[in-house]
Amino acid sequence: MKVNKEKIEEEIKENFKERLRFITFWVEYIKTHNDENWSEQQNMLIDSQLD
Amino acid sequence: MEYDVAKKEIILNRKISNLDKFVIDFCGLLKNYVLVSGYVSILFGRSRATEDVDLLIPKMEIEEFKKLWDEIHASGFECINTFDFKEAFDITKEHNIRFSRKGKPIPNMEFKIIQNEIHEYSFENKIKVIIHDSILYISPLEMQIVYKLMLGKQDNKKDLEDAKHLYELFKEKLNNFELHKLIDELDCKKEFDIIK
Repeated sequence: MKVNKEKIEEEIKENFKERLRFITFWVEYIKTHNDENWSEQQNMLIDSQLD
Repeated sequence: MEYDVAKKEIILNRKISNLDKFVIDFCGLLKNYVLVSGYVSILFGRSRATEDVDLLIPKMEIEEFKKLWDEIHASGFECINTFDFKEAFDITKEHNIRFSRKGKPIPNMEFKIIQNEIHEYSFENKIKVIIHDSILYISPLEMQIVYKLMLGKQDNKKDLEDAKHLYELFKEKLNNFELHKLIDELDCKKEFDIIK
């Protein structure tokens, strides 16, 4: 298999940028919804991993 | 959530997760402590879980440590590292010890004795978080953000994401003078430029 490392590194960088964009989006959601609303969604993620 | 900067107090009306319950139960046994690192971001909504929660505690004598050790164990927690309190006490002089609920190693509390200037700063400037009828003490947000930026220097993207979450969420309320002073002192300008 011939791997194009440059392309993969570019994808990793773009993935990180996308994650940062999602954080901006999610924080805006938190700011514009009450604590119960956003935490209920977050708890589904946390509790599914820690139950 | 409401952040009263002057009172160093945040009122958080979030639903309690299993992780929050673990932290609230454990911290309820402590007199002096400050929560730091990833859990602080998670408490305020970061979309991830964690297996460990970092806690800083002032240095204590062995008698005080024994009393706390007994209270912790009587409350359904246990030390993961050792069953012997003297050994645990010795470990804390140079390393961290972990506590979890008995028979459930995840999540666990990473118990660190305050050892450096960053720890002292976090402890001395801690913020009170009121969650329903419980109280937690957390590291000041400016230090929390910069500490995460510092960890991000080792290309740890999760830490940069934690820093961004807190920065975006609290940027209107942060002490910018203090934030930039810490960024300069801990040499994190490059990382801050990535997340701001």
